Amino acid sequence: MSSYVSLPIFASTLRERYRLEEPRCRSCGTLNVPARMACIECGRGDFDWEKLTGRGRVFTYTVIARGGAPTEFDEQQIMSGSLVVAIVELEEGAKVVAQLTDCDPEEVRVGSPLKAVFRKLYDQEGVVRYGYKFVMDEERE
Amino acid sequence: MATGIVAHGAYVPKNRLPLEEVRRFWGGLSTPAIKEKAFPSYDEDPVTMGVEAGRQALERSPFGAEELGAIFFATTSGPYEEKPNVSTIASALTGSSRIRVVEMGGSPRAGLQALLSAWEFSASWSKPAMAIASDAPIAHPASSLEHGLGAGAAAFVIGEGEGATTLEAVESISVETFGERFRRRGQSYLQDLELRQDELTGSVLKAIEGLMEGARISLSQVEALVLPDPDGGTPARIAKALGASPEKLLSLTPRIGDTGAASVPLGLIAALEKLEAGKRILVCSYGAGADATSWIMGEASIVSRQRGRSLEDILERGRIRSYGDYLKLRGFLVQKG
Amino acid sequence: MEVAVIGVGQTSFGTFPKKSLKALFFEAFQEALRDVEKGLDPKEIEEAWIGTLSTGGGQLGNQAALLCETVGLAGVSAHHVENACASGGFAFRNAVMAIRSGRCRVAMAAGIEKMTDLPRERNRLWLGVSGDVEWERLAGTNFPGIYAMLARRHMYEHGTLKEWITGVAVKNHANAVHNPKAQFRFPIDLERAMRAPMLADPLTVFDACGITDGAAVAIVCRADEARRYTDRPVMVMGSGAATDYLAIHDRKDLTGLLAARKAAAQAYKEAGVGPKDIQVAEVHDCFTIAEIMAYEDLGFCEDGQGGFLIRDGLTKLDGPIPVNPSGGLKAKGHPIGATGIGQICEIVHQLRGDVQEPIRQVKGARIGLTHNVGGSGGTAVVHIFRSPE
Repeated sequence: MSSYVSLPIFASTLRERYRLEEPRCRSCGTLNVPARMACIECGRGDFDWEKLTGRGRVFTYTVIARGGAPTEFDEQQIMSGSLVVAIVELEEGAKVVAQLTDCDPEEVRVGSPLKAVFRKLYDQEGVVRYGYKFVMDEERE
Repeated sequence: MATGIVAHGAYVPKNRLPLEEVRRFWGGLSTPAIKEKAFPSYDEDPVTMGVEAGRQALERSPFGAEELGAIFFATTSGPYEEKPNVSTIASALTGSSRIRVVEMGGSPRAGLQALLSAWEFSASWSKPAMAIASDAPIAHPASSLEHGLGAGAAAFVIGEGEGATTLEAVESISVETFGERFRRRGQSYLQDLELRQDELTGSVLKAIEGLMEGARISLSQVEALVLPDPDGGTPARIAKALGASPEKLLSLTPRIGDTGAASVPLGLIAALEKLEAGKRILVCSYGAGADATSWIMGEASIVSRQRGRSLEDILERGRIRSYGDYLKLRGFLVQKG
Repeated sequence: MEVAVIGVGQTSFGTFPKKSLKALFFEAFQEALRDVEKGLDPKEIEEAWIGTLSTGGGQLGNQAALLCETVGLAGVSAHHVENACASGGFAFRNAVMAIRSGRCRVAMAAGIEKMTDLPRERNRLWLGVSGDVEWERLAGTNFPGIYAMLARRHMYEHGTLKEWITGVAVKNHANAVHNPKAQFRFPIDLERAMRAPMLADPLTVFDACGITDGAAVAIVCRADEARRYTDRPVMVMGSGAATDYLAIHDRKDLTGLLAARKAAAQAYKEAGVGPKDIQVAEVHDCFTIAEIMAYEDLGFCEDGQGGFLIRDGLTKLDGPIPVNPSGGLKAKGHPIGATGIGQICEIVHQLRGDVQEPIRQVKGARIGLTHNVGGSGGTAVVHIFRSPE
């Protein structure tokens, strides 16, 4: 017994994790990322889904030392050593949490431009879980 | 309007291993004509690379993802042997589930086969289709077969469009082979018995000669030649046998290694990013036989290559890694069980 | 109905591989009973709330009933309270509410955690279960990473220096030296702590608390009957509690914990006092940055100035507002469910003036506060206490 994200729960977020489609509240226009049942701003529950650009900036970040990540990431940590996690402020305004990949931790700053990419998150129960991570956006400053 | 390639996209992992590192580590190098190879990071595989290449192609495409009637996906190293890898790719590229998905594999030839199938689908049903070839072939790091293996992905949107790069002719050959680049069910690593029969050169020559004869094309009418290239040297040998100028050859293998099913499609992208409209590209792939194709470069490919990052830009933005990093990131040191 | 604390007890906090969950609970309970000056018949306890995350290899369901029967309280109405690291504080709040309602006269609030029962690998499964699991955990981070991101944002927005943040650990270790029940009773110096191996940049292993076993028990009753049991009842002046979005990306401000602010505002209002009246506090320093944020959330200083309190030594034992005289979670130890009750044990002793090693006694403290946070601020509970008349 411990913490664990079941496959049905994971599957319910595929639209967000695979395509970065997120709901905007019909009543107050607030973008809810990640999606929620009741709007984070006004509490109503009717949304229109839209595709986000995947562009954002580092709001805050950390470099987690090897062995410090949840057990789902044990294999990754053997391969990658430390891992970089950030709160990303999206161009559309909302914030998300995600790994930064293909990046040199020394280069990351609060405010660094990022763009979303499709990567493996982890491998559990013989199932590869895919989703978005972010890389440094080399085309922006 | 003719059916053809209206947009293309490429993806090459950032990680690069200079093959000098392989020579230093193992005391020898089986593919000296390859200078560097690209390899997937811990969180990349043919599915993620295929999605990224597909996204670039779609960003450049006159057709939206929701208009695609089919995706043909080629790989020899997908994460699943059963359960379609292409369904994951389709879900990542489009919210529409009304789409035909086809997965191809079996040999590096699968990449060009996916492109041909997408063309045939599109021509038959007058609907846009996508072909994605994405591969990261894998052999045991102690085997010489492994030295040159790289990773990459190529994607094409095929449809009826103004200035599409059109398919002119196809010639296919099938032969039975033994002991040459194979992987039995359940095995992780490629094998090769190194019988040195050189089925490759024979099949490729036969397919190209058949193609040129059937379509009445002479070598002087060919501007670019994309040939199977597992080692960085094969295309030059074939060109010599054909009597073609080596300047016409396009291959990424010396820079990113043997990318399996993605290798020839990436060579085609190199041509699409270079040639002027109206030029002829001869593209041939190999795998127990060969498929030879000829394409006429169209304006749409010139428009496509001007949007977003060029192939050359992607190739240049590599990050050099040590052999130790290579072993770790490629997963060779993760012990199961 | 006013509520009084009439007895508190806790085990030493530390790693006790040879003490079972039941043995730990029995030890804390016995000490609490002995602490009731004029004695208490356990049969007078009518309700029990036990805070625990239930880590480890034992009972998951019906844990409160099991622990009650362990100490001879079979038959008592018992409740398991789980609000992550704030489970203990919330258990206490429930007991306070029950007395206030008039429904019961004497109640027990307890907390326990046995974190060393499992092999290291399986223990790690339990870390990061109380943040947002679907998004934060699956982005590869648990609490060290979350608090590290909060620390970086605090440094970015307020110019807080890392040495002030880590200064919290130096101060709390210095206090724990004098606490016989603390887990880490050794001083550390700032330079060494700054150079320690990184856990989650910018936090090093010295910015985090460890793995701890422990149990703690507090017994409360109606204030008007407290003198039957003790001449030194400690009064509960105020109780406040709140929740917040679990995932920090859903919060507007990442330099403080809104739940703690709300809980503090409620507790101050109930108590009729303000931050300036607090003379001693036990705050939830699961990571050093958490104590800096607590200063601001509790109103001990202006927003963004938490680091100055450490820089200027204001929260040391001999400072104007001593914080974590016990050593805090950092050095006294953090047995998840027991932590909140352990804080109350310390404040009760401080306000009664009977701290075990007098060097740790905050002289003349009459009003004290406990601040107990669950996860990265998904839950928070604050209590304010007054010394016996």
